[in-house]
Amino acid sequence: MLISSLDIPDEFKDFYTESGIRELYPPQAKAVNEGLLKRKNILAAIPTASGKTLLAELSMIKGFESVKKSLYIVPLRALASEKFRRFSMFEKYGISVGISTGDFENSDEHLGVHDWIVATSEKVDSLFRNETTWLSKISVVVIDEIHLLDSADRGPTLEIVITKLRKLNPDIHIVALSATVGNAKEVASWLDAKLVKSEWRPTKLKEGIFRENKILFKGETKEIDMSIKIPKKDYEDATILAVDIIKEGGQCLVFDSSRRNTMSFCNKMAPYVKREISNEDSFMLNEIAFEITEQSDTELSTNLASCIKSGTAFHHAGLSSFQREYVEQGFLRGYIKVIVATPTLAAGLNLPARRVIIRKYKRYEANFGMAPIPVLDYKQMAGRAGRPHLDPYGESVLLAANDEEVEYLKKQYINAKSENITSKLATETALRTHILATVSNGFAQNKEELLKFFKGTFFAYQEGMISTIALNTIINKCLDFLIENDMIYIKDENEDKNNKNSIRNDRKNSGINERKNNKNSKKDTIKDTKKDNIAEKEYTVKETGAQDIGFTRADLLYKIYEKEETYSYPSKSELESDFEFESEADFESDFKYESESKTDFETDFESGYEKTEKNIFPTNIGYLVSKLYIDPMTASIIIKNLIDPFYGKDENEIKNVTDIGILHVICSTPDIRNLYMRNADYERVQNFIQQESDIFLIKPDFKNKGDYEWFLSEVKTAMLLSDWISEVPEKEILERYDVGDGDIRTLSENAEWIAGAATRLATLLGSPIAKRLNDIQIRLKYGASTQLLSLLKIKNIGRVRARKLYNAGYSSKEDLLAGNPEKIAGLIGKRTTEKVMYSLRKNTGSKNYTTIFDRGMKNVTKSVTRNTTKSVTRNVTKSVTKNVAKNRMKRIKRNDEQDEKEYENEKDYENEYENGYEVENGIIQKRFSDFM
Amino acid sequence: MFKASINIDLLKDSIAALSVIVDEVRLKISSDGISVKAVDPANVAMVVFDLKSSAFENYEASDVEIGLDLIKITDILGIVERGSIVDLELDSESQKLNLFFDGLLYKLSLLDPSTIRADPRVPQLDLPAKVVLNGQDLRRAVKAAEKVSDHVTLGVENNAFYMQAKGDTDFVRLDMTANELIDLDAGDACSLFSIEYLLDIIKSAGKANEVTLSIGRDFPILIYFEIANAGGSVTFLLAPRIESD
Repeated sequence: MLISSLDIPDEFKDFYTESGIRELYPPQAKAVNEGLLKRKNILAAIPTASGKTLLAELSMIKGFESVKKSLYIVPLRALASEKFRRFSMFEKYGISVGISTGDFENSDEHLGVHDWIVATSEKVDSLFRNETTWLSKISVVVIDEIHLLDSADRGPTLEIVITKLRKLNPDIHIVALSATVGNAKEVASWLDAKLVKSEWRPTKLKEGIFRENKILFKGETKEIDMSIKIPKKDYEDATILAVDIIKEGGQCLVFDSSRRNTMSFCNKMAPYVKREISNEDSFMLNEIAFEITEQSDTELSTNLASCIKSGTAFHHAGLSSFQREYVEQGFLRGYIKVIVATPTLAAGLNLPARRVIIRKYKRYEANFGMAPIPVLDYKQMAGRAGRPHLDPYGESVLLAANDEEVEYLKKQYINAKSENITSKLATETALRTHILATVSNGFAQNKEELLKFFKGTFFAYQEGMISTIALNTIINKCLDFLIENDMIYIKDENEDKNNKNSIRNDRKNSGINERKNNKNSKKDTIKDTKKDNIAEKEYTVKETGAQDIGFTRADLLYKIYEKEETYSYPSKSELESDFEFESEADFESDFKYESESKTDFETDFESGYEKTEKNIFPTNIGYLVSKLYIDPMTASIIIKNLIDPFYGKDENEIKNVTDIGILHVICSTPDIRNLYMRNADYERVQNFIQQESDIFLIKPDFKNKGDYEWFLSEVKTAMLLSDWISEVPEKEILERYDVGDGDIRTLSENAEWIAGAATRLATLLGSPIAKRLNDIQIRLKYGASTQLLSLLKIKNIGRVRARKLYNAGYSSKEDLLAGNPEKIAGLIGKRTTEKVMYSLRKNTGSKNYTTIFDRGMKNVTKSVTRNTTKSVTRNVTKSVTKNVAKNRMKRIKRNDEQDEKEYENEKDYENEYENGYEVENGIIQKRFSDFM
Repeated sequence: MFKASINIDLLKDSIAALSVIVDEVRLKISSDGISVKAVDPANVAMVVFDLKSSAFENYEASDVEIGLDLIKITDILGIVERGSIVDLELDSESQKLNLFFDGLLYKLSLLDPSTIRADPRVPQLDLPAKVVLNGQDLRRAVKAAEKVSDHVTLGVENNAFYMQAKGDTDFVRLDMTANELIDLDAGDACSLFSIEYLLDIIKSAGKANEVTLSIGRDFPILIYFEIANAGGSVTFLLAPRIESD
């Protein structure tokens, strides 16, 4: 089928023809025949690289033609930006493209102006919770990697998002893209979609098993040249296979089971790959390696750089986003020949290679030990083999040690069908958060509606009749939990609905008693969560505390969230001392929005229902928890351990609470993924717990071994975070906890999110600890003590420089402006001083900086002040070259600068090169590459 | 192998010209002389530098590439008396450059060239207008523009070269007719440039008697001048800025 014969506007046909696509691939043609362009729902279960993106684009173009909004749901943020970049190519046809990543608890209303919006499923869920109005206008939705319904982490959210979108707009056009899974048909019929299933690939894929000196493919064998000399201790089949394919002119992806393995194998093979690298490539590789060490000189970074010099690289979740970007770009452009990756890469990015080696087909599963990977995962990895149009074929290779294993692998993987995917929705952990959200946003007003809503999910579809019973039980349990934690309120039938006040008073008075009575029943209802014991113990503490809470507390607790009533938050200035860290607009729009536009949204939602009586209400707490996008369990733990115990306490008492105590509570919530305990950690962490046993707000339970193990890893994580906010240099943290560069950032970002949520909860409940929590949140964000905050607000000043300045007596921008530039330069270097002073003066609006500042110092301000205008040139890929390189210090003296570099560079990157271009007052600085 | 003697002022000027763009360079040394191509990290300014062997007092070399820290060498050259001759010798064994002047021996450790950014590709530009003027005049034009703005327009109009800068409140313009210039090839030319880069560039170019500017419309500018009595040349390329809205 030719592009030109499609029913889409001509300019798009030209676009595709010009980019070399004239004819649809067979699976694409099939999808069109099934009615892709006639708003028929489609589930395309086809291999990677067989043109799924084109299907998505066609359906969205079709939507655009009739002025309809499209939403593209991806599983990973990195994918979101990849797709965003691709879709931005359509901007010249008047399609405006938006991307929604970033913070939860933000309705991103402004994205409503875009025609196509790219977002992760979690983000879409949070947009629902924040009642984003444009969601109801979405009329085409593309769901990428829908087989992730099977994932315990992400599946439930994806399922709920799809269900909500369908509820909101029953006519929505669904285009779902999936890997080939066993029960694709079932998923398709859940979505009322036509199934397009195909094994067709643009590049032929040969799946084989390597044994001795041959790769055994189906019906053919390929002999491998084994003459490469590798000493016995370094010998690996995978090295031979990798070098072999490089000699042939291809690239290679190796999948390994753990981070550690990827790194050690990568190092092991490096010298043998290096021999195959041409001088030209070597040149570029040195460049990439240099840039990486320039970013940070942690052990991981140095290790990565040294691998890259040899043309190899490892890739796992411990890498920082820079390192990943470099590795991926280096591979895509063909300089890096081999990537050794953990299987996460298979699910995520589009980095095909001629040969894929699956070095370990087993991986560690918690509670199971080493287990063989699912066929679906194998197929995803194998599917990365063969770059369309570039490679003549793709090969995936499993390694076998003996003939039995060959047979086993043939049966287990090569000839196996992918597993069925099953819904993971029906667990309490997954459901309690979604039930709360569903109730909060008015998708369900009573239990019947709740049940009805969940009957629209894939779980219900898949389980049929049984699901009703299962759902009923779990929903009841979750409701019990939510009611008990004051997040949801169910009005009794015999209560007089005309007398709201008296109801509330009844609730209020009975509330505390009820809690006591519930004490026993609680044990039965929530059992399967790790937090249960802790919660139970803390209960006693709480009972006594309850008296102090008094009227205000109870009043707030049982207040039903009602949209016509606005509740007020303490003013932001109170919370955030002298600097606004969150943009004001965000903060305010949030609340304005509640009063103004919520009505629209609710009407939209509610119109879909026959009016039934409303008897489930979110409380203020519940409503907030849902918006904050945290697990209700997290909220419960925070309220019980961080908020309730401090009612009526004065500031000194709050001061006495240690950082690590607070951080530990944060780490004990299910929303934080804690670090694993390694053997080497036990002594240190246990000693710490013994010495500092008083500081923990949640006490350890030494008796229960499993719980204690959890406790240890929570403490370990809290210790890392505490080091981070106490300005311990990153390099030291990395060594102390044996984590990767990216881990600190991921952890601190997560903890910041929870600390922020805790702040909001504390504020809502009028707890005096709010300010302290906010303080912790900000420190988590910047990895520094609050003293430095006003300095950290200044561009180009990171935690290390800020500390130097503060210790020298400069604690604010005013101090800096009044200070002697020479002296400041002595502390943080001349160039930085110039940049800093320049931007400070710009910000303060004082124009006479030339007179105060001496001439000689001014000329390095080349890269300052970029009021990055988002509207400019989106289609440029991120440039890797940054002005950092200009700051290359005398390499001999680099150590003292390294920490701040890590931090600064990130800042530079985000602020100044967001779209790959420097922009200042609407004027773009062009680069030479534009003229080549 | 590299062994040469050079006048300190020429050496300083050469280093200064390179420092405008980068802090570290790869020097390509051959029997004909020394050449450098470098681009600044933002890919906005570029320098193409050539110094022929004839510009040196003595010169002996075979093909070799060295990495030089410009900040450091600038610092060292600051203590050399004006008019002195500096003897340079590469010690490839220890990767040091021996500098001998005024009875002082300085062993400067070199950088591994592979750690320095590779030579850029120089864009092939066909620029319609050519202006030849005195370095001092160019300096004056840029300095004037700096008073009012961060960027300056350079162009050719009505058979004259002009500079114009618009600030938030003030405005400057300088017109130079063919009579005031050394030479002029008129053509369609009008491009906007960052003052900050130009300020750096004129520090070096401002000393030259003849500076050749090649300008286009929204295209990079080429600023060419000779050093060491035609024994060498420096070309700066600067990418333009473009009004976005």
